[in-house]
Amino acid sequence: MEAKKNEQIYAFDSLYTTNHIQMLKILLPCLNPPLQKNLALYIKFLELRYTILFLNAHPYVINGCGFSKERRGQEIPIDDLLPFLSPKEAENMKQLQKSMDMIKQFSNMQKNLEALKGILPEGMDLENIFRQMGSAASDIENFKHSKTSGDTGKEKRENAGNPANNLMQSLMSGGSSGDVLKNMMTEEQTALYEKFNKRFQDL
Amino acid sequence: MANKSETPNEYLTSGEWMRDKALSHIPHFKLEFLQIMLFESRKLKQEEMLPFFMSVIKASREKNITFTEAEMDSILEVLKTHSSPDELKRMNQLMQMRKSMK
Repeated sequence: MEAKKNEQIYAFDSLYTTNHIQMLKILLPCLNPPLQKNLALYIKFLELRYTILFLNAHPYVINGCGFSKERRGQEIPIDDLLPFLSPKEAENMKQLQKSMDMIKQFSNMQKNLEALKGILPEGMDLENIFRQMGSAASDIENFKHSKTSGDTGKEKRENAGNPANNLMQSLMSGGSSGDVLKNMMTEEQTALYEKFNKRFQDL
Repeated sequence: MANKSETPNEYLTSGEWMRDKALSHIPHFKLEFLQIMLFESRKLKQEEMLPFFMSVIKASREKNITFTEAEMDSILEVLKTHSSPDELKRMNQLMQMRKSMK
């Protein structure tokens, strides 16, 4: 655990404690095990009390834990969080990061496409593309569900009714986001995709 | 969206616009990328848009195709010169919106 500590954790731990409390932590291993438990509780109590007193004495808004406008765009340091997660949680977090990267990619494309929207061909807008991807994703999800769990028609309809969720679930369920999206396409669309790729390779 | 029944602008669809002197500072492959994305894709059907757009994203990632503000402005100026009044009106509106969002 000690090796995993990073600067933010040290900063937080230093801010909400006192030298006296730190001394108690150093002395803790010197006590008999039954007393260690009591002292551990007492140390945590002292830290909580100090934190409350400290915040009351400094009644300005603490931005660090909120989502203020300036910090909303700040990226979550996912790499720093990974060492503290279980393997399963870490895997989910990585998938989430991939999805976020992809959404960012779409947003960047959208910014440029918005400016050129006036001359884009019919149907070439992100809302439409997402709708297509969403319905393809829901088809895949429904197919998987019907094979594995034999779910009810009602559940199928609910899944199909939420394309954004289905797309996100598909992105989260495994493989790279590119592979997931490729799997959503029909055979004809995949053939076209390969054809377009060749066209772009010649640039 | 522009009126799709109008005759496609030959200057734009043929790629002639890419040779405009105002765009000489932009690498040709970027302009060709836009040419495919904007004009050669016009004949695509609705269901062909997903693979096309996926391919656009893949190519933009692999070839790291991005446009600076200055490049975008130059391209839009050239395209605007050769657009129909309806397209021009929409592009101006969108440019205004884009600037107000910055």
